[in-house]
Amino acid sequence: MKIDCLFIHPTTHLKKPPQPTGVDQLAYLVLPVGTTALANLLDKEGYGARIIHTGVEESYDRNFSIENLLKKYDPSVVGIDLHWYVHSYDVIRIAEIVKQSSNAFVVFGGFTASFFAEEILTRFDSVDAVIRGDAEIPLLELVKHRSKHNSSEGFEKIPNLMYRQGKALKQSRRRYIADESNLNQLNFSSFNLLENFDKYMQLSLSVELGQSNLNRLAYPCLGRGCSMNCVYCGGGQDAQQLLTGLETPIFLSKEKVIEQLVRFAEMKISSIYMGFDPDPEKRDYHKELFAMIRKEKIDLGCQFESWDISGKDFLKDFRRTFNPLYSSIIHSIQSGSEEIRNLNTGYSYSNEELFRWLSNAKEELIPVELAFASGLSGETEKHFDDTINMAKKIVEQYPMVLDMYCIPTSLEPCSPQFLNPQKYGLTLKFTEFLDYYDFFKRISEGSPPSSILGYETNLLSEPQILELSKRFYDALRRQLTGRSRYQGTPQTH
Amino acid sequence: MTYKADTRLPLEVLEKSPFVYTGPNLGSFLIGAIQGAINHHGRLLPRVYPLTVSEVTSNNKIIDKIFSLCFFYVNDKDELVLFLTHPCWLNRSDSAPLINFLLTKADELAQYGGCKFIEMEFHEVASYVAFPTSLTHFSYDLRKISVEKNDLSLLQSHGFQEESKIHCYEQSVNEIEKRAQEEYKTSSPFQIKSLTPSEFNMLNAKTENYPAKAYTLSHRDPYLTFFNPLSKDIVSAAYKRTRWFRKGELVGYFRWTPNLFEPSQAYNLPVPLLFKYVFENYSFTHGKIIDWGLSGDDTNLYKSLLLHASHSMKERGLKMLQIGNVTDSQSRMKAFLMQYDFRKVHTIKLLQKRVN
Repeated sequence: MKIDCLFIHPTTHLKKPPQPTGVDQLAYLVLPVGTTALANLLDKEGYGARIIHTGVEESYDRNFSIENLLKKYDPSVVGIDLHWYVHSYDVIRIAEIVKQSSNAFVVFGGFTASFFAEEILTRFDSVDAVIRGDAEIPLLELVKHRSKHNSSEGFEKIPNLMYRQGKALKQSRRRYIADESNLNQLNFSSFNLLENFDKYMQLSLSVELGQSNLNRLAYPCLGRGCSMNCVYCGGGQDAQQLLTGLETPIFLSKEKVIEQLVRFAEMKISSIYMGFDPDPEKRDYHKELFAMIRKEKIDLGCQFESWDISGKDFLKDFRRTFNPLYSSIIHSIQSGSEEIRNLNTGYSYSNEELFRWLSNAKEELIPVELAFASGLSGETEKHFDDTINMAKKIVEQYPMVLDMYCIPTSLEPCSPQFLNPQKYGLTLKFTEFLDYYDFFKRISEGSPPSSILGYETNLLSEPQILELSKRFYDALRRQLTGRSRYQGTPQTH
Repeated sequence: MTYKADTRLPLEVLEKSPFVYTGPNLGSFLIGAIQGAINHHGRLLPRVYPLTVSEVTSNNKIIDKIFSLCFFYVNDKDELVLFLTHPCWLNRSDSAPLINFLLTKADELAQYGGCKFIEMEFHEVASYVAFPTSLTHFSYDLRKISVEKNDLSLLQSHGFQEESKIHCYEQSVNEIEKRAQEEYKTSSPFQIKSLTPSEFNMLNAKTENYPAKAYTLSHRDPYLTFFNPLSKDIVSAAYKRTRWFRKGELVGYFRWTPNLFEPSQAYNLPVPLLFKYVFENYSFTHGKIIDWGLSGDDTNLYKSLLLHASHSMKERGLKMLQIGNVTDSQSRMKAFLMQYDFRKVHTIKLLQKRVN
């Protein structure tokens, strides 16, 4: 069966203690929401497309191989998503196999690929092109072009495309930036083209190894962009402008979101992860959307990633809109120190405002999950004491806080601190794509990486940052037992 | 007709048969993950399987039909068992082929786990049953669940046999107090004290060999012996009086819990223990003795503990007392409850089938 475009989603392999099955641990399994929309667009335009999730295939079929996949589909284009940097090694590994065993044209897309496009194309012959920024029209035109021609002639007409011509790298001058009307024409909720969709649904962001998954979680698309610039985030307003040209957030029409949710409910999906809250001033969008969900009587749980704290009305609306099973609000506080939080995040609130928000959530009986970080710009050990003290206070006073995490800040490509490390007091150890590639190659092989975080601050070394995160869990282990999903009662014989 | 099995807990279960979960890791359950693997003789298996059977129609529409929460546990003989909660109908039709399909999947799971038995609880409801209604951490509010005798026959035709009957009885707190005051005029040879759950946990080992104890699936498996720390559950502990007014030997206990279905329903909370603060001032009407143990047959011991538990419920404004986990063979306890005109409100039939 010959198809026009085969989408291959990579999965990060971790060689930490071998699992009982003898298989590597697989991580970062979520498929970018845009992938299904891209495949559905090609399909609608009459081009054959399939999506393969390598993590799902590897989990359920020990004989799975990219080679066999290529034999089966004989695709003329292979699209590999490199949105998140955690897939930096696996995308290249897959691209190399594709090149060795087929004549397919290999194209990358996603934020990380967009940011490192030039370096990727320079270093890795296995990659033929990178779509920088929004991919819908560029990919459609690329597939159309490849169905008629076997050369790069005419690629300059394909927007957002960086490609190799002979030994030279070329960048198309045409630009495509998706607007709201473009987004509204896409289909984000049909998964017919994703192989083993049922099995993909059994995997979930919420579930760790050794847990049983009760839920079926899906990720609706609500829009693109952000209005804030958190210094650690590679998807903030300035980053989006640099990567895609998008200046301010765009929202899908609420009717289109409702269409997605109705479809999800039909597919027996129990809850949705809403990870798009780009502008606290535009929460009316969510309020109106919630009202429509209630009006349509769509029964779903919701894990809502609240990028800023919210008012009581919003919490009330959340509570009366979503099923109490599989619903929670997730918020990243980052630091217990107001000074450090305000220095690092695009949103701003006092500790008093935060505790008022938590009290409102408690009163409204809304479960909350909270995240902190170590290694923030300007943070000292003393600032981190404020984080631990705040976390202790929260765990004592707010029983509806389901879990708290403290993860060392990661170095996201294109984040303000990546682009301007001096300004934020950082010394970078990862400065190019190859550093990310090397890191994930090493952890997939089980060899020690040269750096874990890829940076240190002028106030804290890398081991100190890692130690702070450990200190957080040591300080809170007892209080979190029985709540946290990561700590259970002894259950062995 | 095409059926398919999936491991998920649909939201529809909460609507059709409201439940509460009180097991380990409340927070992770609420967002869709049950923690824990079981390690039996070096073999590591995920413990819990939320089994949903659906019908796939000719136009590929999926209709969820029946649900049962399945889990592996280790019984007191160190045998691995697959346990199924009462099959909950989401959309009843074609009972026989659907139950057949569910049991085929359960059989496959039991064989995969290397289980010796499959067990299932089957409810018979005579009247309102307070929390907990299950031998597991997953209790249905039985007012809404569909129970049909025919289902039991279907299960039996698949080789399930009745292993035990576990009953729950009820009497009003006022009636118990009235009876006790009439009969209980002489001074008791037992001293009864209220204990906190943590105080009781320290004494629990002393009750291991009591001849009369509340039924539990396993004393061996920590998953089933796990008790979520309910601040409001109360232990009445009986000590033999000594001559010198010292606290004597522990000879029995009753442990009760307020009926969690009440706040759960009022506030729409499937995991109410995460929100314990809302029932600090909640007016419960029902309380249930969920765990009990008695070292001897002395009627005064039974009476003293019952009166103490009933009194502590009355002090908190509760009106009805239920006592659960009484097996059919515990004739001494049953006779005592009959003496106090307790009526049977619920029976769990524990069905068992050997795995081939």
